[in-house]
Amino acid sequence: MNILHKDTVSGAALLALAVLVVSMSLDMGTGAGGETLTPSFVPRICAAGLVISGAFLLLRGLRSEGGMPAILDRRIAIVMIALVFYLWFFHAIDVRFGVWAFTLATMLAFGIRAPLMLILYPVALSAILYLSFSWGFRVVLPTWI
Amino acid sequence: MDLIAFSDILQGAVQVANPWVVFFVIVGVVIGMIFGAAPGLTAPAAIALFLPVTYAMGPTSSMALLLGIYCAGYFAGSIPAILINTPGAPSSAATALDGFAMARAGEGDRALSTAIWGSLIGGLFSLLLLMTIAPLLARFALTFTSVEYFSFALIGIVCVAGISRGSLAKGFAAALFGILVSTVGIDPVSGVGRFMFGEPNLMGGIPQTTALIGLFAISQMLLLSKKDTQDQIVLPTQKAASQLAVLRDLWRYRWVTFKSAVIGSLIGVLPGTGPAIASWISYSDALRAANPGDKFGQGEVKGVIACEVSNNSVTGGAMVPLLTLGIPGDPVTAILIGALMIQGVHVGPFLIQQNGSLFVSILLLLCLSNILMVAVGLSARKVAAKVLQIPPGILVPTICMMAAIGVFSISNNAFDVRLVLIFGLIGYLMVRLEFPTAPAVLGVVLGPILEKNLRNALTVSDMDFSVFITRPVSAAALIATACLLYVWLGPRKRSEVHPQPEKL
Amino acid sequence: MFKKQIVRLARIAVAMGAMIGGPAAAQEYPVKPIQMIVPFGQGGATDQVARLMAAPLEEALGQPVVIINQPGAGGAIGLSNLTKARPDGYTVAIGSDSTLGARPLMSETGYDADSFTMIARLVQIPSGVAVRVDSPYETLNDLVQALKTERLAYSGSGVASGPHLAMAVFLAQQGVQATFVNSDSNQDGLVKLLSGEVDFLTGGGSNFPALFGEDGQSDIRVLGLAAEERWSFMPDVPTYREQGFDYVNSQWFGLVAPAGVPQEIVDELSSKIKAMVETPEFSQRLEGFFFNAAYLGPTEMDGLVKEDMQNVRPVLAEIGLLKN
Repeated sequence: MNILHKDTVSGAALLALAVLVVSMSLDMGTGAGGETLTPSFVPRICAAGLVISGAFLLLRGLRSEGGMPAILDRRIAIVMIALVFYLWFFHAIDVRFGVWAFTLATMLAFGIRAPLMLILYPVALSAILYLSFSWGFRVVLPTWI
Repeated sequence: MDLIAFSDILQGAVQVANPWVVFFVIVGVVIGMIFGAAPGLTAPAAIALFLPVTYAMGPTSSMALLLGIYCAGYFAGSIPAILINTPGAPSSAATALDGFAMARAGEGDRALSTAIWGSLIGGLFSLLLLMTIAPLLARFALTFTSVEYFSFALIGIVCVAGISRGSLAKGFAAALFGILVSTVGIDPVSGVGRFMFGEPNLMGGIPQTTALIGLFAISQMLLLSKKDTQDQIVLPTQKAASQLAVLRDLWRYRWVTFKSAVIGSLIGVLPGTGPAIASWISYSDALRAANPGDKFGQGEVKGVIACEVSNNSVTGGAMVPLLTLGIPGDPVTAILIGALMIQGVHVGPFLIQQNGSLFVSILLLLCLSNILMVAVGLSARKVAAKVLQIPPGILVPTICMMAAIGVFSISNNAFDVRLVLIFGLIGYLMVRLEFPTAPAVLGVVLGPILEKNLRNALTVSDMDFSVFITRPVSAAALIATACLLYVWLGPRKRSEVHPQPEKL
Repeated sequence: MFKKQIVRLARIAVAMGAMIGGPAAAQEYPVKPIQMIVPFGQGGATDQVARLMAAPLEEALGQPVVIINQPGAGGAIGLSNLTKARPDGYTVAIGSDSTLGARPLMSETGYDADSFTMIARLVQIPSGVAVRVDSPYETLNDLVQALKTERLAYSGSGVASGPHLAMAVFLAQQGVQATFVNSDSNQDGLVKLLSGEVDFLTGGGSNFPALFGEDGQSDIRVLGLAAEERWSFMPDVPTYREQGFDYVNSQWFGLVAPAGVPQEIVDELSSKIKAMVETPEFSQRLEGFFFNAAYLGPTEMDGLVKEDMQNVRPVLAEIGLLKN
C-alpha cells in the first residue's frame, strides 16, 4: 500500500473532481431548447471517465514503488508566491509597480546579483510593457496615479 | 473566375503595388510574428488590438496590415512551441509535441525552418483553392450540418489516444479535464449556467487562450524555476539546418504535406472551426499513416509538417466562406468582417461581384503576406534561437509578466489574469504528476464543438441517434475514427506501450 | 519648465478637489477621461457604434472617451463589471435590450435592471425573420399556419439573445411552438439555415441587406420585419402588422451607467448624446451598418427595459429559462 505514490495522489484527486462535478450537475436543470441531451450529460460522461481513470491510477499507485516527486523547492516557492500574490490582485496593483517588483523579486530569487542588471532590467521591462500596451493599444491598465 | 473583369484585376493589382500597402504588409507580418511568438499574446489578440488603428486607413491598407498579422501570426505560434515548449496559440500545441523533441535533439533550427516552409506551402495551397474553386467549396461546406461537425470533431478528439504514449489513463483524464473546463459558463445550447461558482465573470466560460497560456506558459516558467538543474530540460547547442535539406524533406514527405494542406483548407472553409482543429486532425492523420520506423512524439519531422502546413492553410480556407457568403471561417476572419464594414464594404455573397478589385487585392495581399512571412521568419528564427541563451532569471519574469498583461488586454478583465494563474498552477501540478498537458488543450478546443453539435443534431432529429450513420459524410468520419482507435489501441501496439515518461 | 510643472500640479489639485468635492463640483463634469465599456469584442457592430460615438462625444464633453472591450456571455460580463464601478459618471457602458432586462431574469449575473442608471438609447434595428429562397413559405402567415400543424426548427444568434426572445415572444403570442437550435452568431445561424438544418432564422434586420444583390437576388427571403413601418433599408419587405400580426420588436443599444449617478450628470450626458445622435453625420455613418438612430431619454429608456422584461418573463418561464 503506497498512499503517497504520485499515481495514488492523482487518482484520488481525479475521483474527488468527479464527485464534485456530479454533485454540481445534480441541480443544473434542462433550460431552453428542444428535446435533446440535458446540460448535465457531457459533464457526467466526463465524470464517469474520470472515475475510471482515477480508480485505475489509484490502484496502480497503491501497488507501485516510490513516492511523490518534490513539488516545491525554495526557488519555485518564491516565484510561485510572488506570482500568486501579484496575479490575484492584478486589478488593485499599479501595473508599472507590479511588473517592476515581480521582476526584481524573481531575479533575486534566481541569484542574479549584478547591480546594474538588477537596477535596469525591471525598470526597462516595466516601462516597455506599460508603454506598448497603454499607449500603443490604448489598453487601460490598472494604475494608481 | 470569369466573374471578375480584367479592369478589376488590373485595379486590384495597382492598389497593392502602392508602396504604402507593401509597407503595411511588412508591418503586419512583423507584428504577427511578435504576437504569435510571444507566449501570452496571440494573433487574434493582435488583430483585435490593431483593428481600431485601421479605421482611419483605406480598405486596401487596412487589409494589408490585418492579413499580414493573420498569416504570420498563425505560423509564429510554432516558434516558442519548438524552442521552449510553450505554444503561442492553441494551433501550435500539436507542433510542440515533435518540434520541441527535435529541439531537444539539437534540431530546433531544422524544425523551425520546416515550420516556415510548411506554412508557406499551406498558405499558398489554400490561396490557390480560394482563387479557383471558392464558390464551389463554399457551397460544399454548406451541405454540412451539426451531425458532420460532431463527427469531424470526434476524429480530432481520439487523437488523445495517439498522443498519450506515457500513460493512456493520464492522457484520457487530461482530455476529460479539458472538456470539463470547456463546459464552464452559460451552456450555449440550453442557456443554463454550469460550474459558475456564483462568479458572473464565468458566464462567458473560460477563454481557450487563457487556459492555454496558463497550462503551457505559466507552468513552464514555474518548471524553469526549479533549483537543481539536474532534471531540468537543458537544450543542447542547436545545429544550423540547410534550407535545401528542409525543402527536400517536404518533398520526400509530399504526401503528408499534401494531405495536411487539403485538411487545413477544408477545415478552414467550415465555419466555426479554426486552425487548432485543423492541426490536430492533420496530426492524427499523420499518426494513422505512420510507418513503423517513425518516432512521432519524439522528434518526427512529419509531425511538424502536418501541423504547420495545415494550420496555415486555414488562412486561405477561412477566406472562402468570408468572401463568397459573408460567413467567417475562423475567429480571425470574423473580426475581418468588422474591418471591412467600417470601410463601407458590405461582406456578403455579392462581395466579389460588387468589389472585384478588392477581392483581387485580398488575394494578392495574402500571397504577399505568405512570401514575406518566409523572409521575416527565416531571419527571425536566428533571433528567436537566442531566446535559449537568455538566463532563466530573466526569461521567467519576462514571460510571466507578458502573459499576465497580454491576457488582461484581450478583454480588459483582471478576472482572466486570475484564471491564467489558476491554470498555471494546475498545469504545473499536471507536469509534476506526469500528466500530459496537450490532451487537456485538445479537450478545451474540441469539447465545445463536440458537445454543441451533438446536442444540436439531436434536437433537430428529435433524439434520433441514427442520423450520425445515415448521413454519408458523417458515417465516413465515424469509420475513420474507428480506424484510428483500432490503430492506436488495437492488439498490434500493445507491446509498444511501455511507460516512458514524456515531458510535455 | 518649472512653471509648466506648477500648472500641471495645479490641474491635478483641481481635479482631485473636484473628485472629493462631490455634488458641488459636479457642474464641472467631466474633469477626467470617461471609460466606455463595450461588452462585445473589437470589430463587432456594438464596438463600431461605440467608436463612432467616441469622437463626437469627446468633442462635446471636452474629455477623452476611452473604449474598453470586455466581451463575454452576450454582453452580460461587461455590464456586470460596470455595476461594480463607482457611480460618478466616469464609467459607462453600452447595454442592449436583452442584456439589461432579460439576462438577469435567467442567470446569476450579479446585477438586475435596477443596478443601472439609464442614460440614453442610441440605435435600434427591427427584428425580422428569414427563410431559404426555395422554402415553401412565402409570407409570415404561411409560416405561422405551417407551425400549427408541424414542428419546425429555427435558429438565431445564441440562446436567450435578443433575436431568440423576439421570436419566442411572437410565437407565444400566436399560440404556436417551434424548436430553437442554438447558433453562436447570426452568421452561424445563417449557415444552419442554408444547410437546411433549420427552417427559419430570426435575426436583427441589419444582418439581411448585405445578403441581397443589386437586382434583389439572394439565397434567402425575408418574410417580415417587426417594425412600426417599412424599414428604409429594405422597403420591399412588409412589416408584421401589414401581414395582420400586431407585433413590434426591435433590438437596440443604449448607454448605461451604474445605479446612483447624480441626476445632473445623467442630464448632461443624455443631452450631449441627443444632440449627437440627431446630427445627419451620425445617421449617415450608421447607415453603413444598417442601423437607425433612435434616441430615447433616460426615463423612456428605463420604461422600455421594464416593459420588455414584463413581456419576456412569461415566455422565459414557458421555455424553462427563468431563474429559480
